[in-house]
Amino acid sequence: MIIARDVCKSYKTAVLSSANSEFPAGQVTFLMGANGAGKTTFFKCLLDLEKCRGTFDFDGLTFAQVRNQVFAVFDDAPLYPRLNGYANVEMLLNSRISKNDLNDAWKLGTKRSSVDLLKKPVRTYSSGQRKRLQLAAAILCRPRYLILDEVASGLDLETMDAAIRMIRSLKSESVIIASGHQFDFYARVVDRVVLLRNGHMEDIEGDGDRNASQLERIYRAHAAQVD
Amino acid sequence: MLRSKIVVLLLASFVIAGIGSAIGLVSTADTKLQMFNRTLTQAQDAGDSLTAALSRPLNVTSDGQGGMLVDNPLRYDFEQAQSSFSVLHPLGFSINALQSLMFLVVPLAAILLALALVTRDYRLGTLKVRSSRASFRTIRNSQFLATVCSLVFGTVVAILSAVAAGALLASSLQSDKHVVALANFGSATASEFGKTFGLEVGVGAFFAAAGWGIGLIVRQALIPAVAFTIWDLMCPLLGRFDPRTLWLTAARALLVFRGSFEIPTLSPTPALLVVVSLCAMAGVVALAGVLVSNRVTRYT
Repeated sequence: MIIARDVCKSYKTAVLSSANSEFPAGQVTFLMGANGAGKTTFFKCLLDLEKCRGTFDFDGLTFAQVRNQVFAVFDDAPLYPRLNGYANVEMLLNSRISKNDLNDAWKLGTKRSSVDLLKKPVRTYSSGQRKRLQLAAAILCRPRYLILDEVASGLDLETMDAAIRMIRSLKSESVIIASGHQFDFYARVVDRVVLLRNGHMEDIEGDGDRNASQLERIYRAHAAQVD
Repeated sequence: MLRSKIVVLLLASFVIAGIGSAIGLVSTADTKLQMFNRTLTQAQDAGDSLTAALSRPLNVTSDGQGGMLVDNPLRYDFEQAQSSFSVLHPLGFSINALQSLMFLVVPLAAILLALALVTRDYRLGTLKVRSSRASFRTIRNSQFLATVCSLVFGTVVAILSAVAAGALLASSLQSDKHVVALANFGSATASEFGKTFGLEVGVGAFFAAAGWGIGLIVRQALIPAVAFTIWDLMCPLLGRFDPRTLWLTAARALLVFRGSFEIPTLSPTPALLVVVSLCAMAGVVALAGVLVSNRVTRYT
């Protein structure tokens, strides 16, 4: 479980004001918020990419103690353009990998995916293929803590289905926090919704089984109403 | 490492510099040998001989107009040729390559490489993924270490290039009948090579630390790279406390320059002051880089 306590972050104005929440293992938590609500800022603080006030507790440990069990997939899927897929995953994971393992992960359970692309420099990849490579890296490292920031944007239907299978396969052993706006995608994987609004976090009660229109209703009722 | 275009460019520049230094050394020896042969022919026509000339003293005085007056030109040209031939061996080619690289190629290569490596993850945005899995301190230190290792690797490649090119070029000279008589190989020693190599690594590490620190502060490479290149090539701003002048001062105190590279006369600076000034400069820039990079976002 990740516990966020009194997380505060300001730029010129306050973005997070004493944000508190718990993110349990075995569940996918959907962090819902309007543009500018502070979802990415929360991830920056969680991943120690920026200094903030407050604390994060990772199953009783600090971020520095668990960082090799963390993996984050960001919307822009940053990679090294001159390196091929294999070399990129090694760089991002900071470890040697088996090509066969990455080939399997790259297929994400689909039948028609060719692994030839992995031998090519990443500059030839589309944005969807770059994101797919990062998802494959996530499968390879099987992180205890998985952060998915706008992971669904730019994915084709097949990759989206495969990403859903990947998230479900990791769910039992991981703490997964996802944010984004493709409700039809997230409705298929989320167990819990946390609303980020006006710098605070609040749980949205529910039975854990939601569809896209329910998520959209929650969004329209709460997240879009920023003070 | 070799997958990086900038490292390949660095190695290419080191190879070119290494071969260039060997060509310079051999062509200097060739020129000096031709000059000696000309003087010897003239002396023999005048009834003089090399043995007789070597037995007479040699006096070199200034003519007051920037030139010099030599009272025993045959002995002078012989000693000049002998001196230039004495470095035509692997150790001599290596030391000359190191001395040529040290003040011309290494500072520029070190700072540009450090800037490129330290700013690449910021530019590509990969830092946010990497630094969430590995400590930022480790990433930063590995970038500095990679810069220094690349420079050392480049230096070794330059030495090998210089030795290979030098051996090839010198083989044509060694067929000359006077070479055997002139040759006084082995004047350069392994300890001389060790000192030169050590100083070169010091110069590389100093400028790598400067580029690393500046890269961490500004987080982009182009403007500092252009500014440094202009400064490096055109204007030593800090007088005798200019870093390059300080390294030249250290080199003059520690090294023997027998080859094609010569350093200018410098105003004396105490050794302790040189060491303290260089350490302080590198330390301040590197520390500022660490402090600034700890405070700014790694989400780019």
